[in-house]
Amino acid sequence: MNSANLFGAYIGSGIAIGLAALGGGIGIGILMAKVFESMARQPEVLAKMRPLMFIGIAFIEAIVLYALVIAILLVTKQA
Amino acid sequence: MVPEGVVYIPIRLAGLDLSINSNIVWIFVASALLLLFLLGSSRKLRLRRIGPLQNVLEYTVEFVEKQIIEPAELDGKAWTPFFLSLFLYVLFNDLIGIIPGTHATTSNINATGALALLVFFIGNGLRMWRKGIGGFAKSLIPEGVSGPLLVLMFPIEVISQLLKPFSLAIRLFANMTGDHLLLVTIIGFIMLFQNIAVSIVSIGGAVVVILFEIFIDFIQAYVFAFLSAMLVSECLEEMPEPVRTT
Repeated sequence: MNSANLFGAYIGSGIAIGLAALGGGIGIGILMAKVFESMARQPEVLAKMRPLMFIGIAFIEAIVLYALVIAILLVTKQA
Repeated sequence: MVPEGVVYIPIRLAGLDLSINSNIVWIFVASALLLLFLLGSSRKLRLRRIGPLQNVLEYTVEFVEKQIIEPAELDGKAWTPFFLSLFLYVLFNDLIGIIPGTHATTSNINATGALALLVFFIGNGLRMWRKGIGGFAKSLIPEGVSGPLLVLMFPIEVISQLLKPFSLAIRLFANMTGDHLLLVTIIGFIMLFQNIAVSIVSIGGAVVVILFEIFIDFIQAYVFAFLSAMLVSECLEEMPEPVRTT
């Protein structure tokens, strides 16, 4: 690859993971805010809600990690 | 991303590369530990005054029954052994990454891809077996649509069914690889800066990251098993019946 493509690859990988982390952070923040709010209203549903909360976090993190995989592929110049 | 590892016994079988490399050796170690745990804790089962190992085993089985099988509305007697094995296999393979000098065996896309493909073929194979090929095609249609909406939605439905094992595999793989990369980066700061203060903070950070990584191992094993149960339950599409676990 010539240097112009390398430059684009590095910038692209930084933007990819940056935007993904932004979206993921906001998503998990909204999820946890709702969990805490509902726990404050009704403490006894926390036990039922905890597995669902972890599944929600795993879904959002999976999307962030797809972008991480793309970013690493760009940096190691295989995509 | 994570290096493949040293090849110990090269085996080529009909054009496939089945050689034993260090990743596979660690999978054997994790499986041996899993067997040791399960066989050791299920000997001399007692009803009262149970020992600690039997306590852990009972808690694990009850956890799988209540949090994985019941939400997916599967037949407990038929599916609990499979999902218990899947959950514990993924968990032990993830936790191997704690041992210094090695990485989690599920941080290899081939390992997680194999597990995801296993679940995918079990689910769809059973669907194809129970309903026949025609019924299999019919069950891909989402409920209650007809006409031009069907022409639009059928490819979307097929693609989303095909993407599920991919997302299972990549979720587990990227979580394990990302945690390990984070650890490597934090320790790499010591090499980069060569400063006493940075070393102390770096090692403290590494301890926190390892503890977080153990937490993520448990969560990702549970999420993998839960989403596989959802996939299988969606493929079987039975009427929700009460879970028979005895």
